[in-house]
Amino acid sequence: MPTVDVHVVKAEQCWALAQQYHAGKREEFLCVNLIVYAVGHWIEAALALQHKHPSAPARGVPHADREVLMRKFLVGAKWIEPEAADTYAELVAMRHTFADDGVQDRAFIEQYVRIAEPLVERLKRLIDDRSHRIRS
Amino acid sequence: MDGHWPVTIDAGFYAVFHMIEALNALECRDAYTFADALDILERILAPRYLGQEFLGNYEYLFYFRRGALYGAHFPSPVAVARYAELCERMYAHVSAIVVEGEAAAGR
Repeated sequence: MPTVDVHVVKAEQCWALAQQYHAGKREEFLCVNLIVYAVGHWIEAALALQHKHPSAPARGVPHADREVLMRKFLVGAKWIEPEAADTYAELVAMRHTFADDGVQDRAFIEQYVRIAEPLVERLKRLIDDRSHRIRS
Repeated sequence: MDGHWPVTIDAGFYAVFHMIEALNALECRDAYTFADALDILERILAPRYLGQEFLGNYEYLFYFRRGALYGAHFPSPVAVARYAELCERMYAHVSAIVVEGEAAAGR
């Protein structure tokens, strides 16, 4: 399983690419995915600080389990507010539209970034704060 | 494209995945999940249209992507290039079958 540091590196890489694509008005679909990967890695970094990691369903990826663990261990331990988990669930649910209901347009990605940015800032603060406490 | 490997991996996989979905759509099917997509590929598309080699390659793409994007791994440039080349071949293979299917369906 990835370490905290690996999660953080991947989160930062995906978020930087997402910002680049968003600013350049490029490939909205890939931008949405990059945001989901960034947020997911920051959540998993926080879970990894508690020595926990989501599993994936057979032939699948770990989105649902990540939300369950986020609510149980990050919200449950009061590391983060329940609204942050709601926002994560919203981002994942909104992303499903690309698979089932067409391609994201410019308005979609603008709304998506507006929803994601506060969560990203909150998760970054959480990782910084908890990493510092655990390592000091 | 240093540092852009997550985009290469994601775009390559989804190009193939959505072309497979286009083939499904010709026969009124949708995959609701990745597990569903693989079941349909194994049970219908590989035996009828795409072949067993394609199925094995799809599984390679799926687990490579999962390990690189979600997991602990940082793929080497050579591995990313090989993955991208495989995506291109698979995309071309499914695309040709979709075009034939569209013609046969009178679309």
